Formats: sequence, structure tokens, C-alpha cells
Amino acid sequence: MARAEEERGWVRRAREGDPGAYRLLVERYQSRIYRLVARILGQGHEGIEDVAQEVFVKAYFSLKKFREDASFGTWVYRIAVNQSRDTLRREPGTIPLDEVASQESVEALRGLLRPSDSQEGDPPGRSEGLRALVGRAVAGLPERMRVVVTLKDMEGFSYQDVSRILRCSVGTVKSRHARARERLRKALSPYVPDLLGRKSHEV
Amino acid sequence: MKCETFEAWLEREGPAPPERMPEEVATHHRACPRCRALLEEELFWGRFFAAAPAVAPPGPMWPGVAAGIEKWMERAESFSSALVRVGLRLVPVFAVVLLLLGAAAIWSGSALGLREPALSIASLADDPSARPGPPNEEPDTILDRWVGAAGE
Repeated sequence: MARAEEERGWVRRAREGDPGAYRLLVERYQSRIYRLVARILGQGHEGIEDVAQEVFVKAYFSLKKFREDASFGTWVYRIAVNQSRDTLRREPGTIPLDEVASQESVEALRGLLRPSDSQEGDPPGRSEGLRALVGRAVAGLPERMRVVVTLKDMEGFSYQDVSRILRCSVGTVKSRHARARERLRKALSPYVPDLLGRKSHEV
Repeated sequence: MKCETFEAWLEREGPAPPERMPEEVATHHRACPRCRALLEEELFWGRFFAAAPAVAPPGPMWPGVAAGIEKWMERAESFSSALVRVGLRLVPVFAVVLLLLGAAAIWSGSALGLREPALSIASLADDPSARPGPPNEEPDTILDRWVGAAGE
């Protein structure tokens, strides 16, 4: 609560033209915004840093429009999602999963289905391969689904939070999330056939 | 506990291994194969997304953000000063246009003033018969003509 109050104070001061207060806001959110932008644009995208910076520049000039019915975090996340989407619209196209699905990464993926098999002992190359596979699987999703998966599964937001960020209903978020999971299941099923059998348990 | 309650708990709390579940939830989990599979899948996705590449900004973002803000402000300032410059150049043009419009209005007004009015007040005073007004007939005559009884 104190954190939220502190943040509101920074927002008020930044609105009044105090750059020091805005700097504190940037420092609080920079890692999260950068990560979100990177996950929506896909890792390896050249413009991640520029887009993340642009988010904060836009937010600065829109501070007067910011109504405090949502937190600054939710609001700046919304700007980040929109800015990333705009960037994606200018350069559509995704990379198929099979370009990165090495044997090591597939084995590591199968290991995820068997929680008893510790990943700690995996050779570094295998973990790297798995990371690349996960990153590419998410990057291969259509933009709307990718945004929901990024916010819900990777950033840990609730359905309600995601609906607030995206300004759509919780039902829409749930539906996009379920479709995204279905796509991921299909994309991964050649490597982990067991995964497809789990579809029937979907909520 | 029903499956829906288990699902709601899972959605609210996120996937957790059975040993960290409240007793009621754990009991249902042990007894229900469907919910066991559901939790297993959620745990899989949790591990899957946790394996996503770690992402962090290469350094503090504030210098870039501050530079971006400054650049925008400069751009806005240069735009507004350009607007002022253009405005200043347009002022004499507008003044000339206004003068021309005024002169045209004065000229057309005086041109109208030269025309002879069709019916002047002076002519009405001299000849009352020229005054426009009701026809010089009895009202009954007008009404009779109107109802067609004039000839009867």
C-alpha cells in the first residue's frame, strides 16, 4: 500500500514537471516494460530497446491524460502493449518453430512433462535450446494470443489484470488464452506427443 | 469440493504441488483424476514458461528516455516557433485581405445607395393612393366572391 502511495506521489510530481520523480517511475518499471516488449516483439528483435524507451517517452507526454482509476503500472503496460503492437503491424511475419527445435531442446521439453527429472543436471546447451524453443514457440503465436500469454503466463497477471491492461472483457482474455494454449499444444505436439492428450482437461 | 471449486482455486492461487494445497483442495485432488490432470498440465505450462529466455534491459533506460523527452520537446518547440514565424508572415497578408474586403464592402454599399428606391416615403406622403394596402372593396363583396355567391 505504501508502495502504491509512493508511486502516486511520483506520478503527481512528474505531472507537475519534476523529471526526478519521473525518473523514479522509469527505474521502477524499466525491467518489466523491457521484458514485456521483448516478449511481444520476440527476442532478437532489433528494436526492443527503442520501443521500450518510446513507451516511457509517450507515457511522459500523456501523464496529463492518466486518470488514477488504474495504477501507473497497468497504464504503462497498456502503452507498452500498444506500442509493441504498432511495431509488429509494421513488420509482420513469424518464424516457424521447427527452425529451432534441436534434439537437445526437444529432450529438455520432454523433461518438463516429468517433473521428477530434475532440469538442474542438464547440460548448458540443452537448457539454451529449451529456452530458444520456448521463446520461439511464444513468438510463433498470433499477436493477440502472444500478448495474452505474455501477460498471463509469463508476467503472472491475473485474468482481471490482463483485461484491465488490454481494455477488454475477462471472457475475451480467457478465450484468447485458451486458444493460445491450444496453438502451443499443436506446435509442440510433434516433439511431445503426450501433450496433445492433455487437451481434454482444459477448463 | 466440486471440480469447479478446484478450478476456481487453481485460477486464483496458481498451480501448486499437492503438498502445498489446503487440505480440502488436496483431498479433492487425490480423489479426482480430471483435476489431477488439470493441475499436472498447469504445472507443465508453469515449467514451460519459466524456461523462457531471461530478458533484461542492457542498462539503465533513463538516459535514453530523458534524451527522447528532450528531443520531443525540442521538436515541439521548433514546431511552435515555426508556427509563430509563419503566423507573423501571414499577418500583413491577412491585413491586406481585410482591407480589400472592407473596401469592397464600402464600394458595394455606396453603389447600392446610388440606386433610386422603388417606393419612397416622400412619394407616399404626396399620393396616398400609391400606398400599398388592402383592396379598395367592401369586405362582404370579397367574401361573397370567395364563396361563389356573387352572382346569386
